[in-house]
Amino acid sequence: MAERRCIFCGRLADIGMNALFRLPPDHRRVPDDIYRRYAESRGIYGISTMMPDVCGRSSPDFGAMSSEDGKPVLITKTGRITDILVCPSCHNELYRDTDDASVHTAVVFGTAGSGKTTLILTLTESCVTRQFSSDNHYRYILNEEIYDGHDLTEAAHKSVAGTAPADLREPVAIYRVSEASSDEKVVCDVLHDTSAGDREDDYAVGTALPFASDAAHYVYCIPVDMLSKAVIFGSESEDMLIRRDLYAMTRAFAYSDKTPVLDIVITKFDLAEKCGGAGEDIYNMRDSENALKNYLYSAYPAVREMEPFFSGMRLHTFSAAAAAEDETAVEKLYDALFE
Amino acid sequence: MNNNRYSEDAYEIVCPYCFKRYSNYNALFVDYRNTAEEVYPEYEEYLKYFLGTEAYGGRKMPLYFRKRANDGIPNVFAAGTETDEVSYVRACPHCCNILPALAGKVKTFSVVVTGSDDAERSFYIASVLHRLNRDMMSGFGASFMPADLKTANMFFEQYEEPLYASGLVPEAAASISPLVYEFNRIGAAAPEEWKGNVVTYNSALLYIYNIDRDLCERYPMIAYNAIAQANGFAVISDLAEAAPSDDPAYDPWLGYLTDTFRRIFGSSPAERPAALIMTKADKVFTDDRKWTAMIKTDAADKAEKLFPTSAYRSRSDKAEAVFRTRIPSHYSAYSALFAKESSMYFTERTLFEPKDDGTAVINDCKVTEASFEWLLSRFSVLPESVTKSFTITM
Repeated sequence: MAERRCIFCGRLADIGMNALFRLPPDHRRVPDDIYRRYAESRGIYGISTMMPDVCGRSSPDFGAMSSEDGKPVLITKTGRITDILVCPSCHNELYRDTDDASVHTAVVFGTAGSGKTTLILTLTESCVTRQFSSDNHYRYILNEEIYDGHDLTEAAHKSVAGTAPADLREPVAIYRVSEASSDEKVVCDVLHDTSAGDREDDYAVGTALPFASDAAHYVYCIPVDMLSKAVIFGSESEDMLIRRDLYAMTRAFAYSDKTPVLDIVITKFDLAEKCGGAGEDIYNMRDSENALKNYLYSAYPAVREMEPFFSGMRLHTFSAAAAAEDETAVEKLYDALFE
Repeated sequence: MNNNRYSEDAYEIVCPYCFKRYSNYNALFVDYRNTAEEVYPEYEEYLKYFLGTEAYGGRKMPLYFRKRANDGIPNVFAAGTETDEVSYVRACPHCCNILPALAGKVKTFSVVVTGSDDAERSFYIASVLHRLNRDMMSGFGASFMPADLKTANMFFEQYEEPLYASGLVPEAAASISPLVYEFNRIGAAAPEEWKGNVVTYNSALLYIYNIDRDLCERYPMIAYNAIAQANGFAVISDLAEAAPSDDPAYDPWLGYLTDTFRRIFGSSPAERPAALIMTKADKVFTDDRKWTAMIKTDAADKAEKLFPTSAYRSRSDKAEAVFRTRIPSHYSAYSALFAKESSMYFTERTLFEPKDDGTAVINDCKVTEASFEWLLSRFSVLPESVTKSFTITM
């Protein structure tokens, strides 16, 4: 049975006989108030545009289902043709071509103000709008209605300046194709943003972060200014905070058979030399992952204790402000996450 | 026994919220990825009653279902949902609260921490769990961690963060929502000998209730049930409050404790492990030289090395002898409520000195953890003669 994994809710969707399709926006069978109630039941309030209708084998409008170039196509009774597949659970479009979510999904965690949204926007902006120079892979962002070329750059710059939105409620999905001249979709990388409210209890994690249970990468952002002062002041409170955060992350995959890799990203790295404390030492360690790792262990014993719960731990450094000058650093981070 | 871990019949589920006991076959399942369509105000009220919190505003009700016979999943700890997903999240069929993941898979114990109003009850819980969470691995080769995220968040926000991050005295956080911890000796398949001591349970689930007088008045059914079902007690008394006057009316807590335990257990003493912790011991009986020597830190250090059976028993006996003559009403009340064989006195110096600005100077104290470890050893979770001691360093 052919299946795709929905990037929004993390469920596997059948794209064979039980596939569900999105109908063109002018095909509106269900009244608006029912759509509104449906949206509100899914936690979307005050929507201005109604969701388009969907149609499947059991729908009254169903006419026939066929296949064009291996892609399933639905024809309604009234003759409308559609090939846009949607997830039967959340009615979002199925962007992935495969059921494999394990390699190409990263969920970004971190304390408030640690630069989660900035990390996502800068990564996306660097690889999509400007294109990495060193490879011939063409990448484009998927949910363009939210972040088209112009808005994305603006959002990234705003984010660096500290005026970005608090969190991105939609995942950012990036398509990679094999050659710049080809438009064959190969891989769909997805970056999910989170906020602290998602981690209220185990059940809230299940409903707010359903995609997290199958993700392969859990990115945890630690700002460098926090890290630089940790050893000197021996702050137990920050260690507790990190312990709680890492514990919450383990609960997100507790009910699945996947064990993600923990990618710890030291954000705001350009401030390392200026922020005092051991910042200068951290800056000098930037090329040695082992040295940074040892420093992190001594600063936060919680990291060492929680590490066995993940299938591995890697350390990265990241600076959104320096990303404009140094593209290779961002590219390196992107490759480390997804390739 | 531990060999039966995760087997379906070895242990029963004990609901931490409504205290019902039932077999693994009766648990409800929760559709982990779906909520009900509507927000039900009654559900909010219900959560507020059972969990004592208002942090669940606007939460939609979970969808509950019973495991179907033909869902293709052989064990009772998982069930297939209507959308053909596998749900591992279980709920109590009586009160519909979400159960801890280990419920019914391992032995469950519950501890009631109770004490007079300013007897540093919350400090006790905060310091004990904070340190055990960190040092259990190095001390005993076992992990002692929150069993669910709600506990992790509640402990961090109400206990750990105020005390260790802000240096504040934790507010009296008596709650009907228990702190659920799991104890796990990693990699041990069978009950093992630990330094010559047989440990019965290599993994256990521990419910810790923080109960005060106010909670007993507001939610008597739940508080009384928690006490009645408890496997052990940590009773914390303010010695400075008790010692100046032997009048029971002076320390209303004593009368209240007697009344509560009499209602639950009748006239016979409760034969369950009880750690009777007397705080602020350095502030009383200062004319007694032996007492002062016992309370001194260096003396405590020496005793620490021989924890807990012999040294602590002799220490407990010494304290008991002093209490018998100095505060006879307290002594008689305690000895009537708790059987002598299963209880032990732990005397402790003042845990913290509150300052005028709301912060507190926290003393280096060691016995608090020891009392909790002693309780765990009585449950056969930790070995009896442990030489490990913990210190609180701020």
